[in-house]
Amino acid sequence: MKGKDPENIRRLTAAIKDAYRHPPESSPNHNWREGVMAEIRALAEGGAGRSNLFYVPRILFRVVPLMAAASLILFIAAWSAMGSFFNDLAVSVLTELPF
Amino acid sequence: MATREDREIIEDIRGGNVNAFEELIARHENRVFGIVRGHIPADRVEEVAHDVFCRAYRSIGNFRFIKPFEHWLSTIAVRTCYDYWRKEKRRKEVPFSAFTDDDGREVLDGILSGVAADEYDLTRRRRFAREMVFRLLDELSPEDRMALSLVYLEGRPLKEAAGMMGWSVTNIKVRNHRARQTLKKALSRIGD
Repeated sequence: MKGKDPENIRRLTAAIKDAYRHPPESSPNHNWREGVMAEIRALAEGGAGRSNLFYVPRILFRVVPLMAAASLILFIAAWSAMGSFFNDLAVSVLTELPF
Repeated sequence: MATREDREIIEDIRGGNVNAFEELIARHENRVFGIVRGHIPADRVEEVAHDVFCRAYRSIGNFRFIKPFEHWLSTIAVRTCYDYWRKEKRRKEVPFSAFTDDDGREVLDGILSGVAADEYDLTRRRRFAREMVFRLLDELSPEDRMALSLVYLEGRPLKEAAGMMGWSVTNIKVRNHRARQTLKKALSRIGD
């Protein structure tokens, strides 16, 4: 059982670490860069890559929905409180009428 | 002619000069290829490196100059490799006997003997070990695979690896530990 020996595991581990850190050298095909640039130009025609003047920090995408939800809850609570206030007011006015 | 800083090139690209991007590719392709070669099988390296530069171009409007461009590009390269493995199907346990033919067994015996190799044997050993490590990594989830590759195999600090993946340090530490246990078990099957 070759691999079960701890010393063998240590040697195999060392071999795979060494191989992982020394991948075979290769350079891109001579027309690889042209292929990338062709796609980049196509993307540019679609408007990608320009200066983002309307850049919105990502945090806003989390904060804004939370604020919207909180506002909605507050609005519903205020509306509900106002409804019961006017209801009580109407009842008290009607019951206190002299006729 | 003096070479331009990355910042000048990026501002030129943002201004609408798309051809200036080729200058950035020429300057950084070695770094990107170096990263991608480490994570991806040789026959798919060009395709993934292509994706890295297209992604970088799409996001260049959001680059803030807070950190060097090459760090930002390296993060894109690592995340593109991660996305590649998320799309690839994860394999089940791979029997090692499947690739330890006579030639493979000779190389394996060489590794296990602990005897130093000459240049020719070193190349053969690395090729064999690389095939072996890719097969072992195929058994892991894409997340565990990236954690093991960045931290254990490449030797990057936990904080750096976590930053590259956009994960917490605890997350990458746990994944790396779990993946190492799986790797150890898989290595113990070799030669069975």
